[in-house]
This record gives sequence, C-alpha cells and structure tokens, in this order.
Amino acid sequence: MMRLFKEIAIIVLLFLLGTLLSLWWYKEVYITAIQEQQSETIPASFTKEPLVKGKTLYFAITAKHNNLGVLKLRPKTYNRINYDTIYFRLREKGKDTWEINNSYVVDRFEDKLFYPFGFPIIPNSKGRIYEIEITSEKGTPTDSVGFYGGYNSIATQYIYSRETIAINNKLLTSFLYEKLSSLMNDLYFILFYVIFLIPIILYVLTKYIKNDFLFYFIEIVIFLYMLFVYIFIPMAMDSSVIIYILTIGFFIFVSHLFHFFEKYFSIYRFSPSWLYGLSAMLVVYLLINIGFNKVLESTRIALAIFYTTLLALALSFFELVVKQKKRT
Amino acid sequence: MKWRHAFLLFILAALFLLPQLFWGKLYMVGGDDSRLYYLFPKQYLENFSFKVIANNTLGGNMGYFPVSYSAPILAIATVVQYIFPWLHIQFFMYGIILMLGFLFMHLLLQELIPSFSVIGYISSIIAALYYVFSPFILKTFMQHQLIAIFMLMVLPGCLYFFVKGMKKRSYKYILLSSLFYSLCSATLLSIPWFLATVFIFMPLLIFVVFQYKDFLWKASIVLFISLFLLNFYWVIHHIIPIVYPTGEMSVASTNSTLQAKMANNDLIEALTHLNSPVYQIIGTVRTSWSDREGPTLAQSIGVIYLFVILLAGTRIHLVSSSLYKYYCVSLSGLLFAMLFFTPNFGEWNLHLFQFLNNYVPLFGMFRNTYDKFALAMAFHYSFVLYISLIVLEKTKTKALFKYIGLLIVVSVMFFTAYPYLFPKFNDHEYSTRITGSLNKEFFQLTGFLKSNPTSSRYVWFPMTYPGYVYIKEDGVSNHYYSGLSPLQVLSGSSDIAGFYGIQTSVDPELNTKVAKLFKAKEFDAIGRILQKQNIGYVIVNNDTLPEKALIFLDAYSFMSNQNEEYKKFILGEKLKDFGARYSLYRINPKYDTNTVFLTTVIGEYPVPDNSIHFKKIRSGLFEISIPAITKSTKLVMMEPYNHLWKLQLLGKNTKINTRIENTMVYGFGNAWNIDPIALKVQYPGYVVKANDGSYSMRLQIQFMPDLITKPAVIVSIVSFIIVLILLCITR
Repeated sequence: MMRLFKEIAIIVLLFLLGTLLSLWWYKEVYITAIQEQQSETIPASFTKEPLVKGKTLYFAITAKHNNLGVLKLRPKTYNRINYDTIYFRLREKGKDTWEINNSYVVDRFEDKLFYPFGFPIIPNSKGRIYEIEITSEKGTPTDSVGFYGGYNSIATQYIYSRETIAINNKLLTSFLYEKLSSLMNDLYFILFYVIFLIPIILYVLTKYIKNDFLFYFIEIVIFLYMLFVYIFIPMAMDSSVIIYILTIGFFIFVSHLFHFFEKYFSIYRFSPSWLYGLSAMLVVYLLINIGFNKVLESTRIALAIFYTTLLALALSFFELVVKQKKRT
Repeated sequence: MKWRHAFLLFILAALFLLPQLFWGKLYMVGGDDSRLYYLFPKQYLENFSFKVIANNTLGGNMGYFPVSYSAPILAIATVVQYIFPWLHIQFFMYGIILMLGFLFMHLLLQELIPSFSVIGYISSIIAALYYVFSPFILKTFMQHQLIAIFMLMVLPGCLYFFVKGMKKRSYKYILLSSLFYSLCSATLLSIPWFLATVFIFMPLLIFVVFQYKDFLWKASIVLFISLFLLNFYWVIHHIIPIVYPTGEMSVASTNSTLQAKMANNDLIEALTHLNSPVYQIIGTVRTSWSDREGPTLAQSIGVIYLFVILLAGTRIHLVSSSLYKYYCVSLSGLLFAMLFFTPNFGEWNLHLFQFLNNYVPLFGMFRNTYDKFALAMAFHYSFVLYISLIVLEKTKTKALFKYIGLLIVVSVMFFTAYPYLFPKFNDHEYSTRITGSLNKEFFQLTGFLKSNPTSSRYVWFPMTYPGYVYIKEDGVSNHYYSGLSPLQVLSGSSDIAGFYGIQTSVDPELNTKVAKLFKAKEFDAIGRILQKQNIGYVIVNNDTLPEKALIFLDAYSFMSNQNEEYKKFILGEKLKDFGARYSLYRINPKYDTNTVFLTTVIGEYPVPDNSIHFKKIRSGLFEISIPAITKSTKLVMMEPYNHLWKLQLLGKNTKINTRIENTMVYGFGNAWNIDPIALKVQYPGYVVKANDGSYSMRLQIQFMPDLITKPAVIVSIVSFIIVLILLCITR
C-alpha cells in the first residue's frame, strides 16, 4: 500500500512539475489571456505568393470571447529580410469604417511563428464577426511577406486584466475554464505538453514493460518525438526547452539505451562521443532543411546542434575528470 | 623537411603579394578612421598624432584625449614610404598582416600541439589559412579595414610569443609579445576587438593558468610592466584625468548614460534578427541589412568545419588526455564565441548580453556584436579545426580518406574566400577607391590654410551627416575620398565637417539640436552655436555628389537642409577661390569672434572686446598681451574646456602660475576672471600700472598635460631601446 502511495505521489509530482514547466516555457500567450485557434467565417485569401502591392488578404472571423485584443497570423518571409510595410485593418462586419488601422514594417517578422497584430481591447466582442484586411504598401515579389494558410494559421487572443480576474471569483472560474479548454483545443500545445509528461511515461514504462526490445524501441520513439516537436511545431517556446529535451534524451541514452547496446551488441561505452555523433547528424539534417528553405526548422536545428554540442562538451570534461581520477 | 619550408615560404609569399597583385592599384580609403594614414603617415605624425587637445580630432570636437597610440604604425608606414616611395603602402601593410597572421597562427598551433607528420603539418597550414580567410574575418576586418585590422596578425603573434615564453620559461619571448603588441596593434584603437577576444579566451586562459601557474605570475608582471612603459606615451594621458579630474565627460561616462545603454540594447536585439543561429553553425555571417537573402545551400558549405569538429568529437576518447584537453578547451572557446558573436541562442543569451551591457562598465563597446567577436570566432574555429584534424589523423582512418577530407576542407575554404580574395571592382560607378592624389585644388586649399595665421576653426559647407568630407579625385570620374576630414592632418587646421562633428564632450546632443535647427531654418541659432565653437571660416565645397553617395552623406536630409538660404546667411567676406571646387570665406561677421578675447559679461553668446593681442604658439599654448584694463574682467579662450588649462603671467624672462581657476563658458570654452588690482598686489613684477591707472600684463595659457607629452614619448623610446637590448642579450 505504502509503495503504491509512493508511486502515485511520484507520478503526481512529475505531473505537476511537467505542467508547470510546460506553461512556463509556452510563450504564445500571457497568463491572463486566452488564445483560440480560429476558423474563418469568411475564408481567407491566402496564397503561396507574397502579398505584393495591390493584393489584399481578406477574411473574417467570429470572436469566441469578449476582450478581443490580438489577432495572430503566421508570416512567410521567403528566407529573406523584407522591407515592405503592411497595413492591418479590422472592423466589425456591417460597419463602414475600419475601427483599427495599423501599419507594420515587416523586417523583423519571423517565419512561420505567429505574429501578433495588437489593437485596443474590444470588450463585447463575443459572437461578433470581424473583417480583417491586410494590404502591402510597396511590396514586390522579391520584397514582401506572405502568410501561411491551412491548419492553425489564424489565432485570436482575448486579454483580461489581472485585477479584474482577481476580485471576481466567478470571472476567475470561467476564465480558468476557458483558458484550459482553449489550451486543450490547441493540438500544437498538446504535442508540446506531452514532452513534459515524458518523465511520467518513462517512469511507468520501467515499472510495467519487461520486454527489452519494446522498451528500447519506445524510448527511441520518445526521443525522436521530442526532437520532432521541437523542430517542427511552429510555436513560440522558451529556449530552455531544447536543454530539457537533451537532458531527458541523455537520461534515456545513458541509463537505458546504451545498456541495451552493450547487452545485445557489446558496443556500449559511456562517452560523449554519442552526442557529438548526434550533433554531426543534425548538421547534415540542417543542410537538408536549408536546401528546402525551411527557415524556422533550420533555426531550431541550429539551436539543437549548439546545445547538443554543449552537453557533449560538458560530458567530455566529466570524462576527463573521471580518467584523471582513475589514473591517480 | 626542405619541402615544408619551401611550401611555407610559397604560401607566405602568396599571401604577401595577394593584395598587391589582385586588389588593384587604388587606395581603399574613407570612412570612420579615414585610412589616409597609409597615404600621409608623415603628416599624421607631424600635425595630428601628438596633439592632446583641440587639434586632436578629424572634422569634429573632442576634449582632452591622446591620439598617439597609432604612432608606431605610422612611423613604420613613414619609413616604408620613405624607402619605397612607389609602393602601395596600404596593400603592402595588408600583405604583411595576412602573411604574419597566417604565419603566427601556424607557429602557435605547432607550439601548442606539435605535430610532425605530413598530415599534421598540412592540417596546421590549413587551419592557419582558415584563420585569415574565414568569412568572419573577410566580411568584417577586411571590409571595414579599420586600423584594428592589425589585430589579425598581432593576436596570434602575441599569443605565440607568450605561449613559447611560458613553455620555455623565457622572459625574452614575453618581452617580444609585449613589444609586438605595442608596436603593431594601435593599442587603444583596437581595444574593443582585443578585449572581446580576451574575454572569449577565458577557457584557454584558465587552462594556461593551471598549466603554468608557477611561472605565469612572473611572466605577467614582466608583460604588464613592459607594456606600461612601452605605451607610456599615451597611457600617461589617461592617468592624468584620474589623478586630476578634468571636469570633462569621459568616453566611458558618455557611453554609460541610460540613453546610450538603451540604444545599445536595441542594436543588440536587432542584430539577433540579422544573424540567426544558423549563421554561427554554418560558419558565416551576414554583416549588412542590405544583404537580404537568408542562408542558402551554397553559403552553408562552411558547415563542413563544424562537421569535422564534431566528427573528431566522436573519436576524441581514442586520443591522449593532453589532446583531449586541448579539444575541450578550444571547443569551449568556440561555443563561448558563438554565444557572443550574436546572442541568438535563446532569450537568456540575449538577456545576458543586455545585462552585461547595462551593468558592466564599457561592455557597450561590444554592441555591434559580430564585428567585435569576429576575431575570436575565426581564431577558435581555426584552433579547434586544427585539433580536430589532428584527432582524426591519430585515429584509425585510412590515409586516403584523410587526404580527401583535407582536400574538401581546403576547397570549401577557397570557394567561400574567393570573392573576397579576388574582388571585382566596378570603377565606372561611384567609388571610394582613390589613387591618393585627391585633387590639386584641395592641396592648394590645405596649403593656404597652413599659412593662414589664425587660431579660429573652419566649418564646411555643406556639412554631411556622418561628419565626412568628400573630395573628388582628379582625372578619375566618380571616384571620391569620403571620410573624416583630413584638414587637420594636411594643414594643421581644426574643422567641423558634419553632424557627428558638432557634438561636444559637454553636450553630446548638440548635433541633434543643430539638425532640428536646420530643419526649422533657425540659421541665427546655428550661427551662434558655430560662434561658440570658435568657427571663423567657412569652406564651400562646390563639388557635386552622385546619388549613391548622397544616400549616406545626406541621411535625414542633413545636407539638403543646408540650402542656399543658409549659405547666404552664414557666409561673410570671400577670401579666396581654389579653382572652381573650393571657396574660402570668413564666417558672417555677426558670428566672428576671436579665439581669445576679453568680455565684461558672460551671457548666452560671446560679446567680445578684441582689444587684446594673442598668438597661438602651438596646440595647447597661447600667448596674450593685455594692453590696458582698469577693472575686473573675463579673459575667454574658445578652446575645449578643461580645468588643466592654466593661466600664467609672463615676465621678461620668467613666468609664474596664477591661482586663477578657469570656468566653462558657452558650453565649450574657458574663462578666467582677471582682476588687475589683485594681480598687481599678488604678482607686482608681472603687472604694470600705467599713469592713467590702467594695468597691462602678458599672459600665457597652457594646457598642462601637453608638457608631459615629449617626456612620455622619451620614456617609451628609452623603454623600447632597453627591451631591444634585453632581447639581444637574453638567451
């Protein structure tokens, strides 16, 4: 009984820690805001080509909550610095004048990551339809941005003031419920969140899976999954995430997989060489992504290479100390 | 072994000749440090280098600040020019830099990790070549070509001598290291690059401290004492303001304002958008916002170096502990350099850089990150590449693969370096490459100014935004010198050339005020500002500029706002035309004030009484004769304020310091309160009372630190001779 209680306590602790870390390192939305993936009420005129002068990106969305304050789109930079200026306009459907009229210089837009078009909070936005129009000032095919369409290409944020939520228990409860449900409706967040539940998965696996091959296969899949999420999910996340992934990966390799190799292939040796090797493989993968103009993916791989090498280096120093001690 | 020497000599000769043979015949000049010292080194030494106040700035204002730290390089250039007057000094120097940069890097690598095998030797050659040909160097140092370019050879040279000294426990090499740094680095001018590199060297330094701790402190003492004495000629001028605070804003304090820190933080953040982390990994850099395309596959071939380094990492456990240690130390240095080259490895990286900018004094000097840390990047890439090649050589790899690997690395290196090593110039378009002859009218102008008996300063019309002057070349269309004004160098005359030249150490925002005044057409206010800066003459530049040049020189319409209306307003009497290109005018008489004058009231702007006689003997020394004053009055001298200007009374053959302290006037100049009655009581032999009750006296105003300039130079020369003697006699 005591053992079961201890195991449950460990799992709960890992769960809480993972949830906290995931929320802390998730950089898409402020703690007092709700972000919703948005399907278009009037379909957006996304194209593969850049938004040049004379072209318009038009669409409409229905606000899901009150306090609409940000609309997010995923810019396409075409792997270059663009110096165009775009005009963002927003109005409630049926109105003649544009309520919001902002201009943005696009030189610092990051490819594929949501760019927030902020505006004064609209208090009673829930259920209302808003038209959005984006035009270019002087965009040419070689100097302007585009916008990604498809799944998860538009998001809206609803911003609440901390003071208002804090003094109103009913509002707080409803806010927390909406926030939780918005996070759970976001597939990207769920994929991200799972990374932080991996310690629990590993803990449970060690208890219940006795088949070596299956266990190690799952471990490899887990590690590849983490790298996949980090590299391919276009989500703003803290740079510490890659350090976390490598730490978990290192734990998997050192404590389990290397023993597997030793047991079945007699090639295990505790050495940072494996990490240098992983880094070298990532270098090759980086080249492939650069070749295909994958800007965000290339950046994430570059970060992964740096931190993998850093980790390998730290282990090298450790290995040197161990060697030194053995000699003395 | 003979083939190795022949091979090395061939590479050295090729590097030395490369600029002479493939970079054309024209001088690459202009910009923020003018680079005219390659053309006029002797004039620099004569008219500029040893001035410590007022005449120590090209086209602008600076207070008490020595500019002599490049004197050894200028002296070398002067000697070379004297012996070989036909030589292209700039490319000769660049050839030397490339050659010695390579040679010292090769020697340093061999000294640290000797490798006697053929592959080891070739690896060292390749790594040393990479050091001078890496994109980090070619796209920064070789592009802006500031005087810090000498660091390219000085860094590995000093390190080589120092490491050799440590290994042999010989002070001779420590002294050589100190001497080489003092002679060839332009010391203070290259400090931002030097300090950035030293900062990145921390892993290596810690390693060295542990390895040679017993000899290190002795070597360090010898190094620092010799450095201090060899550089005493300029160091002393930085000690004086500490001992006697001068009341001026120092460079450090100007760069430590909240505004400066915020501007730095903005720039640092912006640069993380210019270079994503991909650039450090693929071993290249984007240095310009106009270079819009992101990393391409062709650019990415530089990733081969990191690939080799990581490949060596997979086999590192197979080599000796000593090599393993070097691998770790050098790789630490490389990763450390990557973090600072552009702080883009996560938010924490950016925040760390900005934190250091906010809280570490002078860290702001590294704000244009990739430029300052380029040398460290190139050095560590080269260092770890060499070790990696050695690691791969020592592990079980077939010789054929080793040679193929080396061939690939060399091919990639030359492929990426080729456009920079064999550049193509379009000399039909606007170009800042010049023959050096400038134009004959400009030399007529400087000749005239040299003989113009005045202590007043000159202002250019039009002034440019960066504070540059533009001088069209004779005979070559569209070729201009566009850089800091060479007036001080060629004629010994102080001038203001543009926006950045207007600001003073007292009022760093003065230029912004002037720009606003131009926009508002408040020409009278501008005239008053010029008056307060001792401007007596206006040089009108009648040359026109191509559109391409105007983009930079006329930024924020600073030039365009100086329209014909302003021209008519500011010009006074015409003195002389120099062909159709230049005309010299006195400034509008309303704003024409002597450098030294008496005044009864210190108001918003000078109301001078020009009844006194004065003469500027040299920079930092004025002689004044006051014929007759009856009451207490102010003596004003419109040279940059500093409380180390001292007023002395002159007798027939004697002089005596007065105890009168100067105060700042008009946000620029100095004023002393002259009370003739009190002076007569205190110094009766120096003040003469006439029958009509008036007093006359002769005075001298001297900038006291100037007195130490010559002795300090002598100390450094004597130290230099002693070091040479020690080098000859020390085994």
